[in-house]
Amino acid sequence: MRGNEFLDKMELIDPSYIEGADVMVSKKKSVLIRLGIVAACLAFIVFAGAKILSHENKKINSDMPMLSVSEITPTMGYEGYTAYDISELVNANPWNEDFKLSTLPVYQNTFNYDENNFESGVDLDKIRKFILEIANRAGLDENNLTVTYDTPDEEEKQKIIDKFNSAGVTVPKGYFTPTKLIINSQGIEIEADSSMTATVHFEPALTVPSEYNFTHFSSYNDKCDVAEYLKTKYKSLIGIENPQADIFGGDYNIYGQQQYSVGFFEDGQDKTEKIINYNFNRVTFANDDDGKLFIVRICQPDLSVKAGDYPVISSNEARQLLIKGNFITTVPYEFSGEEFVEKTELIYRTDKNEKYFMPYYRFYVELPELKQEDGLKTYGIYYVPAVESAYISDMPVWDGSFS
Amino acid sequence: MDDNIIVDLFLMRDRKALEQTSKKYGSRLRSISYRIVDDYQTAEECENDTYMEAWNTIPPHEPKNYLYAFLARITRHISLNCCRNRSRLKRSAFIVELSEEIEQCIPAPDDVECRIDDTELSYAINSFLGRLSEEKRNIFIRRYWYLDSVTDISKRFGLSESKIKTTLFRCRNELRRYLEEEGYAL
Repeated sequence: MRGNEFLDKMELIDPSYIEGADVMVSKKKSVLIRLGIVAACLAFIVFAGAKILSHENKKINSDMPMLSVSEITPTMGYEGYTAYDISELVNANPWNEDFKLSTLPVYQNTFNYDENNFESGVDLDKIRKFILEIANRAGLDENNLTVTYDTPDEEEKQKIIDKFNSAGVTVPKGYFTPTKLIINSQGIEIEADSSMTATVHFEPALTVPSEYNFTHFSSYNDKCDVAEYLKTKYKSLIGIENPQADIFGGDYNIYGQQQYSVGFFEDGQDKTEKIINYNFNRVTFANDDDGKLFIVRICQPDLSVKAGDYPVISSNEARQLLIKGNFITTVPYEFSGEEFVEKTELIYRTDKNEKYFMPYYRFYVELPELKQEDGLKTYGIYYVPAVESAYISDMPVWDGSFS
Repeated sequence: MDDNIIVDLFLMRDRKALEQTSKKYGSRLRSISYRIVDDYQTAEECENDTYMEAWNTIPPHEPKNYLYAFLARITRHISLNCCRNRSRLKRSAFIVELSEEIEQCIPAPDDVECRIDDTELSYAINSFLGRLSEEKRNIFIRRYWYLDSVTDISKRFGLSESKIKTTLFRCRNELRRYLEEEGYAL
């Protein structure tokens, strides 16, 4: 036997040992480090004491719940964008560095998963109202529509129950709970799910006048023209009083083709309202391979449960947290350093897995290990909570592992 | 979802098994693979291949009490093969280095295929690991099962790299001595 075979045979190690070795251990610290920590603590106590004496202590509003940072779950690959220069990555995010914000609202996500990872607390009446509103906006007569659920029919359901029973288990609670409502009429299929996202499919896809170049790789200017056309033509479906065009993207795919997407969001009266509308009241349009309008996606997450207006930190303070490792990311590379931070945005993470919809600073960080010979760079995305850390119960600390 | 139910879904050929497995263990499996192949896209491929292999091997296997370890073993196997088959992956050199390192545990290395069956070898390896302290055992497993670098192990355990190297060196020698004394001819 040789080493390579023996390395393979290590797979025979007992499963309990494998699991045991995967548990994070509390790190041992050398005497020197421990002494260092004690010294640092003493210095901190002296410093903090001086600060307390000289300044009024910041008060934490105990009426507002402590927030938790949801684990970031990658779906397809990690979140990174490829471009020759950071200026190529664009969007219409209304936030900029000059916004001086003291607080921002945080909302509790009303959507949950139960212990079996099935969606729970699905409010079908609310989704029904939402899908009918979208159908109406799409020009369908809501009084003559049939709304169906994404659940199996009775025959299929019985087959599944029998399968479970034959294995000696009962069907888990929530297995047949509907999570989507569907309307199909006059070449339009609308699906609305519990995250209050409606997807409108056109079958056949709708033709766009030939003067508009609505393809996957249309230029930024072409997409701006398309947006102007769509804004007028589909005003009712967009359903936004004062729609602002969002031409976003600008990254390159593996074939070196640059891509932009078209969306709209509601404008707002003030800075906070603009930010909320940009993140939570959006409509995006997608074309098919033939340059026809194929899908419209309307996102209106439920913001009915407000946790409070939370104090927020500045982008500079967030940058310091980023450097300290207080971030979440799907990027499978070590943080490359402050000098590689190329762009900052303030956004809300609106994924349905988020426990709270809260603001984050979103940092675009160049990944030097992925720089290509032709100068193409990859920018990885790192998120730092924008809410003051005193309100975060589990401030993330990158532990060197990749999710 | 409970592992028992996930395995039942596999047994009933219900595709929800894959969805639930991915939700529960996807990131951990991808992480194992990434540490081996050091390429994110390849790690994703290995993760997906793991689901396919699990789909094909449950049944006859019914890993209700050790689903994660069962999947992790598949991921490791696929990822290792991937490194060997795709020489473009820079990790293939690391795998060769690790193979040479662990060869020091074999009493008389030669080119003959393993002379004892997996059951006997499994007993030998696990008996040896059972004699080690928990920390030594975990360091050994991190290195030769998870294929972690010495630097990563050092960070994980809060020990110096030289301490990790010394521990691994001693473990390898102890394993070789153990196999010799117990009369295992590999």
